[in-house]
Formats: sequence, structure tokens, C-alpha cells
Amino acid sequence: MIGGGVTEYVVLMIYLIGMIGIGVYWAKHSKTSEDYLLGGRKIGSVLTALTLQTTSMSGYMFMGGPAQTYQDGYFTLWYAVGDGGGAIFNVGILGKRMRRLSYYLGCLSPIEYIEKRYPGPATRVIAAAIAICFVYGYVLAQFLSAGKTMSALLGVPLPVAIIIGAGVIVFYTFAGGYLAVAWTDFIQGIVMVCSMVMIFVLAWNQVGGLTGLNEQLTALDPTYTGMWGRGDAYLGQWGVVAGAVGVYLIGYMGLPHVVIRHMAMESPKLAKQTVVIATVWNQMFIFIPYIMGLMGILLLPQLDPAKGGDPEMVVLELAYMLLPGVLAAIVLVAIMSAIMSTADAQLMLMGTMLGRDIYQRYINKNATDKQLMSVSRICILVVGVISIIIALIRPPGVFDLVVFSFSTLGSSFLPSYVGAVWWKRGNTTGCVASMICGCIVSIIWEAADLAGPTGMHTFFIGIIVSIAAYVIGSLVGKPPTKEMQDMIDRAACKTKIPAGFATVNYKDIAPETNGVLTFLKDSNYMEERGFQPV
Amino acid sequence: MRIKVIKNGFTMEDAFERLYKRSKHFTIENMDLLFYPYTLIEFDVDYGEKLERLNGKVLCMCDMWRGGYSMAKSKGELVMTDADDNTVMPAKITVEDAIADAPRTIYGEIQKAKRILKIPDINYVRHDSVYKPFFIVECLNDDKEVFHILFDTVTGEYSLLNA
Repeated sequence: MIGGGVTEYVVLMIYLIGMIGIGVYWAKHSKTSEDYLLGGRKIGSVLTALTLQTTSMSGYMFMGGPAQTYQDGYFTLWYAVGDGGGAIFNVGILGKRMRRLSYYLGCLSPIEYIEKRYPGPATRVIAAAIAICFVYGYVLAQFLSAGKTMSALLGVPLPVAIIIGAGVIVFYTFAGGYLAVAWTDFIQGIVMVCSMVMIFVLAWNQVGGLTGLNEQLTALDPTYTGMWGRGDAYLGQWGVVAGAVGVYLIGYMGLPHVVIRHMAMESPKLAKQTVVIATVWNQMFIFIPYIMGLMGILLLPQLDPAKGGDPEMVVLELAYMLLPGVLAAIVLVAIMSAIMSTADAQLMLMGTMLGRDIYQRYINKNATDKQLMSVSRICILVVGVISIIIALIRPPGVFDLVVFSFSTLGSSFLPSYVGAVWWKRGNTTGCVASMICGCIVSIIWEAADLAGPTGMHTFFIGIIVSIAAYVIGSLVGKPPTKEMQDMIDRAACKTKIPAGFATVNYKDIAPETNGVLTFLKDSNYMEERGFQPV
Repeated sequence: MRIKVIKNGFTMEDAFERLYKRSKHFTIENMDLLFYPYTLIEFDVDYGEKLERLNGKVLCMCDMWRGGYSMAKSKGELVMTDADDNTVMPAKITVEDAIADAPRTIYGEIQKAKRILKIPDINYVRHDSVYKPFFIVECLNDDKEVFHILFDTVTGEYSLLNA
């Protein structure tokens, strides 16, 4: 236990009460299912950038990442390189086009989006099954992480910590929906980056800057500063390096709880601003935890696992070593923030999928908007409570399954999400083949522990197989309809809008514009009045 | 069907002129009316300060499709008109829900304008279901590609529909 003093309790309580307050506030502002599930598609660029990035960054960035660097040296920065550019790839490749296409297709969930872009019963069933299983696995893992972190840092018994930590997440997500999730993510993102920069600056001075750090590390063990890991453990394994860079560079584009952020953007035009803000935030946040792992080797030698230490505590130990009590307690809050910002997004997505993709598709096709919102809310509550119970019981084996959720989700969905907006030929056969192959290969690779012997990262092999299946399946299968291909063209915005109109943006009629678009898509107004489809 | 609408400030010709002023690199191929649903709700507000703008009779306009609320200065000129059924957007929000939710917006507006200690009395007086006419405008660019514009016939504002 590192913390556990009155200061830590007070700071953490203020933070948790603040999160609950945000949930209560936004509960009053969600009037339609689109408000509750997608924030009414009116999330601005700053909020989109921060919710996107904090959702992507879990507690791993504060604990797992630095611990890995502590043990492997500079090699781990391959992951940071991928992560640092992840936002540019994610928003740049998918952002604008996915926002448009999801709007044209009238989708509220990322699974519904796959289903409508690649129509067919197999798409629906397979996509929902993979997403629900592995996103749920993710939720469980995050809840347990939240509990373990609180317990380890404050000395609270684990069950109490799980109930408090996960309970707050469930409450504000249940009450406020997407807007509560986005705003809590925003605050959590600021806390995360400020606390990291604070410790980093102080630790940087302690080790004598980059030169001092490198000289001292080389003196300890020259392979610390090499590109193949400590003791050249990964010497010549380019497959592992490619996987390490690629897993975060492109992997997020396959995660449903991350790509749903594109669908909630206020306007496709915000994608460029979002890329800039997310990239700036990334550069301030991503490299720091990894470099702190390197600093930890010098400043905290007692954390070496060989000496019985726990390198996952690098960031916190540095915080308590370098910062006064209250600021160190804020770092503790930052770790909780990282975990909560990921967990809330996954829980929100579970509610969206169960409400929209299961209830409205299979149980009550004529559900009203209010019913859909209520059912999604209830699903969030039920999934949250069940997850807390499972996290408390911790049945053996469950958590072994969830560790590879990232690779499995990424491999299963990435080609379909990217192909949906970039390749008109991409079709249902390709989508189904890629989901099945990506998922199965990832599971086999991880279960049989083939990454070590083959030198191929699970994500790397999963994504190669999945892309190959998508391309072959799409070339073999029937091309999408002309209407769908036109829609993809429109999502790419290939129509040249005359210069005078391209900049028109009367904010006063923006809500009506969105309302009219929805109406025109759902009714036969355009057809009956002799217009081309909108 | 017969509906009550906010009177047009802009005719089709006005819309043509206004749009062509913006750019010459397109042609208008088709234009038609679409009626958007609102409810104008009148409340009697009292928070003790008689001379304030939001004290007394207050009008709140509810967007019956999306559920948004805004304060309205006046009802504008309302006229009865006949409209084809499929040009009238249906309300997604019930009038009861709108009446119940609108006071929150009024309270928010009062707080924005003035710090008050007393919780205002906001009493419902009457409501009017009205429609605002918009033009859906289909245009072709110089490459003969289609794009659509939504034109507000009351204020003359417009926006691209598929941007």
C-alpha cells in the first residue's frame, strides 16, 4: 500500500462525487435515444478528441506500460511509437467518412453500422456475438483493475474497492449516457495528462535529462538502450516489432467502443480539428509513462522483480517520491481516471448494443424512442451489476480470456470498418470471412501461446489473416448494391460543393438540418416529390 | 391536411435569388416545401422582479422532432394552410412532455441572465402547435453532381443537407 492517508481518501472522494455529479447533470439532458446513446451527435472536436484518447488509454498506461519499459528498456517504445500516431490514423482514416456513412445509414451503434453496411443475417449475428463477448470481457477486466488499484493504493479490502470504483462508473453511465461518459472522459483526460507531465518534469531533472538517462542506463546494461530489448531478447524479430507498432497504430480502428466516437461527432468537418487535438494530447501523454519506466530503473532500483519489487508501481512511487501529498494523491486519481474512462465507454457500448442491436432488432421491432432509451439504461445497469458480482467472485479462467480482447476485437473488425468507407467493393462475404478468421486466429494464437515461438505478435498475425479474408471474400462475393456504393461515394464527399456553399454554416438551423435529414432518410418524401435520395 | 404555419418571409423566388448570390457554379433542379413541427408554449413566470425580461409572460419554442427548447420573442405571424400529408414532419415528442420539460429551459435562461435567490413560479398558460416551412432544394454542381440545401423560409438561413 502506497497511499492510504486522509489526503488520498479526501481527494479520491471529491473526484468520485464529481463523476457522480456529472452523471446526474446529464441525466436531465438526454431526451431521445440518440441523445442518450450518441450524445445527440453534437459532440465537439475537443470533447471528441479527449474521449477518443482516454477511452483508448486504460490503466495500462500508468502501470503496465512503465512496468514493461522497466524490464525491457527502450524496446517498449515501439508500442509508444504506434500509440503516438494512433490518433492520426484512427481519426484521419475513419473519422469523417464513418461519421457521414453512419449518419446516412441511420445507425446508433457500431454493430448496427457493420450490419447495415454489410447486410445479411450472418453479419449481424457474428458481429454482435464477437463484440458482446469481448467488450464484456473488457468491462470485467477494467472493473477488476479499478478495484485492485484502489485496494492496492488505499489499503481498502478488494470487494469494497470493486463495489465503490465500479459502482460509480455504472452509476454515471446509467444516469447520463454518452454525454456523461464524454464529459467525465474529458475531465479524466485533463487529470491524466497534467499529473503525468508534473511527475515527468521532476523526474527528468533528477536523472539529468535525456543524456543523463541514457548514459546511466548504458552503464547499467548497454542493451537497455538497444532496440531489441534487454539482453537482446527480441533480436531480429521484426514480426514482434511490427506487431508492437501496429497494435496501437491501427488497432484502435477495430475497437467498437472507440470507433463509436466518430459516429457521435457534431459534424464531419470537425475531424481535422479532432486529429490535431488528439495528436497533441497523445504526444503529451503517450511517451511519458514509458520514459518514466526507464527513469524508474535508475531512481527506483528496489522495484526490480528480481529483488521482489513490483515495477507496476513506478509511476506512483515516483509521484510519492517527488511530489507533495495532495499532488501525489491527484496522480492516484489519474490512475483511476485512466481505468474509468475506458470502462465507462465499454459499459456504454454494451448498453447500446443490447438495446439497439438485440432488443430493438429481435425482441421489439416497434420499440418507441423512449422504450429504447429505457431498455439501454436498464441493460447498462444490469451488465454493470453482473460484472461487479463476477469481479467479486473472480471465477478461475475468466480473466485469462479477457487479456486478449484487444487483439481479437481489432483483428475481427478492423478490415470491415476501414473497408466500409474506403473500398466500395468490400461486401458481406468479405466482412463475415474477416470477422471469423480474425477472431479464430487471434484466439488460437493466444491460447496456444504461439507469439514467442513464431516471433509473430497475436495482433500482427490476426490482422494479416483478417485483411486477406476480407479482400478474398469481397472479390468472390456479390458487390454491394448501387445505392450502397453511391452512399459510400457521398460519405467520401466526392461531390464538389461550390465554393460559396462549402463554408456555409448557420448554427441556428443546425438542429433542424439534422432533424430534416433523419426524416428524409426514413420517409419517402424525396422519392414522392421527385428528388434524388439525400 | 390543414396546419398552422409561421408565415414565410422568403418565397421560392427570394430563395433562388439568395442562393445564386452565394455562388454561380450550380443550378437548382427542384425545390419543395417541408413543414417542421414546433410547439409554442406560453408560461407565466414570476420571480419577484417585475421589470426583468423573463418575468411575466414568456414564450418557449419546442422542437417537436428533436426535443430541443429555445426562448421565443414573439409568436410571429401564424396562418392556416393546406399541406400534403407527406410534407409535414410528425412530432416525436408529446405536447405533455414538452410542457413538462420547458420550464427547465426557462429556469436555465433566467439563471444565465440574472442571479436570483427565489425559485421562480413558472405556470403553464397555453400552447400552440405550429409548423415552420423549409425549402428542400436540389442542386447540381458544374460536374452535374447532386447536392441538397435546406432553406429556412422564415429567416432566409440555409445549410447543406449532406455535408
